[in-house]
Parts: sequence; C-alpha cells; structure tokens
Amino acid sequence: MTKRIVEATLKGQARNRIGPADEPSDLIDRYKRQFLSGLGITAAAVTLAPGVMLREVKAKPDDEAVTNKVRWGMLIDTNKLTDGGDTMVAACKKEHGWGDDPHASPAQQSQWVRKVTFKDKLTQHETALPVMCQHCETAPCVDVCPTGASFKRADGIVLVDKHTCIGCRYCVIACPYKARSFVHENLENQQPHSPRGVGVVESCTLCVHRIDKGLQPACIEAAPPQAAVFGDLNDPQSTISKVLAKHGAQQIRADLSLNTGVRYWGI
Amino acid sequence: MSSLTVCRFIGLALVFFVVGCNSSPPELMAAAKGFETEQETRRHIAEMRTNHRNLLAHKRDKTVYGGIRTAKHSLHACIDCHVPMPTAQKVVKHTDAAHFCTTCHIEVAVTLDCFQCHADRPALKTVEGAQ
Repeated sequence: MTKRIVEATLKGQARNRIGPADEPSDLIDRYKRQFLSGLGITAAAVTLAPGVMLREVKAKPDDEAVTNKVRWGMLIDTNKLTDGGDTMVAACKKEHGWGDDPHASPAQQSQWVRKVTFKDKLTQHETALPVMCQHCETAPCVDVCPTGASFKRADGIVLVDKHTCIGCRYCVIACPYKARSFVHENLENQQPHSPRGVGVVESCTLCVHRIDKGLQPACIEAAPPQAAVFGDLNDPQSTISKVLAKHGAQQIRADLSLNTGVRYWGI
Repeated sequence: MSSLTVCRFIGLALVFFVVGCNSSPPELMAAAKGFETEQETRRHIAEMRTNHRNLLAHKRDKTVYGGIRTAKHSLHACIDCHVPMPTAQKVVKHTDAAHFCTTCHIEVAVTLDCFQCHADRPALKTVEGAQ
C-alpha cells in the first residue's frame, strides 16, 4: 500500500518534470502550470491578515534614539493596486497637508508622492505605481547637500532637517526619482505633526512621526488590501523580509545601485 | 553753560531714561494647565524666560535626528498648553499680538521664525471641526 503511494508520488513528480521526450504542446502546458503555481505562492505569501503586519512595527521606547538595528522599508505590489496608488497619494496629502498651496501653480505644487503610469508597447498593458522618496541606502540627495540638512536617519529614513536647509534645491536635482519638492510661499494651518514652510525642500518622511509611535505610514494603511507591506528590512523574521527573501522585488533604476528601501512588484 | 548745568541736565535725562524703562514683562495669556505648587510655577517661569530658546533647539535636534518625541521641551507641548484651543469664535494665530509667543517677541523686538513651518496652535483638526 505504502509502496503504491510512493510510486504514484514519484510518477506525479516525473509528470511535472520536463523531459526530452515531451510533446511541445505538453511542454507549454507544463511551463504554464509551473509559472502559475509560482504566482500562487507569491500571492499566498503576502496574503496575510493586516493585524499581523500592524504588530510588527514595534514602537521604540519614547526616550531612546533610533538605531541602525532596524531599517524601514516597504514593498508595493502594483498588481494589487486596483487604483494605481490613488488612495495612497490621497492619504499622504491628508496626513501632511501638501498639494493645495494657495498661490502655487500646478507645476510648483509640492508632490511627496505621485502616480506614475507606463504602458508596454507590445502588450498594451498599463501599469501604475506610486513613486515617493525611495529611502536609498546611499542617497544622492544626502551626498550633494551643502549644509548637511539632507540626511539619513539611523533607521534608514532619508529626511530634510528644515532648520538647516537653505533651500538651494541641489538635492531636488540630484534625486533620480524626482521625489523632492520646494515650498515657494508662506503657509499657514500646517499639521502639528508635519511642519512645512516656505524656502525649504521637503519630501516623503515615511511618516516618521507615526513610525516613532509604532504605527505604519499613512499610505500603507490606506492602500488596497495586500497591496503594500511595511516593515523592518533588517529583521529576517518580518513579513517584508521573508517575502523579499523568497521572491525578491524590483527597484526603480536598479542600475544606480542605490539599494532603495522602497521595492515594487510588477514593474 | 556751566558744568553744573550740564551735570544737572544729564542727571535729569538719566532719571527720565530709567523711568521710561519698564522692566516688568508684558501680560501673557494663561496656560491651560498649572503646576501643583507655586514654587514649581516660579521655577518654570524663571527657567523658560532665560533658557527656552536653548532648550527648544536642543530638543529639536534630538527629535529630528533621534526620533525622540517626548513632551518635555518640545514645541508641540509648549503650544498645546500655552496657546488656547481654537474655537469657532476665536482662533489665536502667531500673527496676533495676543499669541503667547508673539506678545513677548514683539516686546523685545525679536523675530520669531518657528511658525513659518510649525503649527502655532493646538491640533488643527479642532479648527476644522469648529468651522
């Protein structure tokens, strides 16, 4: 009995293996099956209850400084972004109050995160993704800043210290992701947790005020179900690390070797 | 003009000068919370009058670079207590002379840049709710 089961299993394995004697049509079917089952695994890995991810972002003690033991990052699955990232952009706007500066022309408006759409010429398949500061490990904006205002926090979040920023906009030019904006006018009614003002550069902060409290960034909370994961890239047990270790992910402009903290699927 | 007259004139000018200098600080809006003892209150006032700038700058760097967001010496906490919650009738902005920070900064003619970026009153949500 046991022997028969083993034989059957072996037969099954042999059927899935692609051998030289297979017919071409069989081959294609088998390739397809393997490819699709691979996708199934991918989907299952990210299909986790949101509660599990929430508990992962541990709040550090209030009076302790951040360390480089953690590196925050996020993974965005463009296939599951049903709206191409519109809700994520809207959540960011609401959280930080950018995008409606009264005197700025549309070109001057701040843009902490924007929706980028591209189309494959052959298949006509359109992909949309939200692009924000990619929180590079070796950030060009930090390299070029003449005052040291553009800096990388110990936990990998790239920020602007607006107290020392002189508004030269060198970092705006240096950033390959077009992630930084400049405020051209006097503002009022800012959000208490997100100071923004005239004459300095600003960009995605990865919702640093929320992370310090143990919450997830606003865009991650607003994203469609299972479309975005946030977590500690240095912790091999975190969901994001496990998924990245298993399936990998793309960086935008990977050729620049910036080792970005924001990764994508499906681009 | 004799030297005596000159001396008298200078003396009189000095008297006027001293009378013209009013060393008492301007009246400030009341804080939302109070200390338990009078001693604590006086210590807080003395420390902050001379040192608030340094304390705020020190905490600022700890917050920006270290992510330490405790209430102590944070501008956030100062504003939450010293500037009244906005209501439908009244919103105190940093451009009003009655604003806690502005009253003194007008008196001593020192420009205040914090509120170009930072919120000048407690949680904005309350204002939106009130309007």
